[in-house]
Amino acid sequence: MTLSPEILLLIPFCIIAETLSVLCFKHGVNEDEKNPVDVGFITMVLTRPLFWLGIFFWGMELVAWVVVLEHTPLSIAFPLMSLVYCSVPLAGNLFLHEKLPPRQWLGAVLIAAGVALVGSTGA
Amino acid sequence: MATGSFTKFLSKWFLWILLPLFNTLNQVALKLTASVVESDSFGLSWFVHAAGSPYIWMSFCCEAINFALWLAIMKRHSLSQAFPLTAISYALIMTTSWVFFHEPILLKELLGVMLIIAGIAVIGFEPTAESGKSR
Repeated sequence: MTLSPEILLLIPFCIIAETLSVLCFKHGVNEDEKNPVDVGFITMVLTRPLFWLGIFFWGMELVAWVVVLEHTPLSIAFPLMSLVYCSVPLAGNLFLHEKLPPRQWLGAVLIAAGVALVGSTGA
Repeated sequence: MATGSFTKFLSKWFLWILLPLFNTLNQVALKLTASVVESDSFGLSWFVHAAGSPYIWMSFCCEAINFALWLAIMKRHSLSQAFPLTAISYALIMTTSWVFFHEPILLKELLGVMLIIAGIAVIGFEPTAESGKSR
């Protein structure tokens, strides 16, 4: 099975959408932690625009992901998506000012190497 | 906090069993959805067939459960640490693909997944003072 150019473009789209989605959720949770009034779990999710934005990105990713899976074996497509394990910590560091010690960079490099290895069997 | 006890309950180590399990179940459901719409080109009939499949609803349920688990995890950990830990799902999904969808596992893929797991091990499962707080 070969990966078509369309599918190769859909995979980075999924990665970006997931990164944005996770960023929205984490930022929403951080904001909730600052709130002295506890609104409860369901209310928190339903009333925060950031969660809706996160859910929107998640929905975009879901549709694109099903299209990807129509053309690609799960054991190939899913490991390719592990690039998000680099993009999410990076985004957390850049946009949420999270600490990113060298140990976590090393982990990200190992994960990226694993991704490259798995991806090399897909074409 | 009303969400406090819920969060506390879910934030224990067994989250790292539940999350990959539901993640894998979700991927299986999506793969089954994809097999339902395989013959359709992407369009209205694609959506109608996908929405009519029980598998897509199974996937939505898994996503909802995963979402609650994930928010509970994020309350306690930074993104940069918590997110990579979810990669533990790879081993489970690869095994599931092989067992249920009869997809072959190549040596390269197996080594790749082992590297990914090594990366997760380096990042660490234990919450640390340096990365446990986001600020």
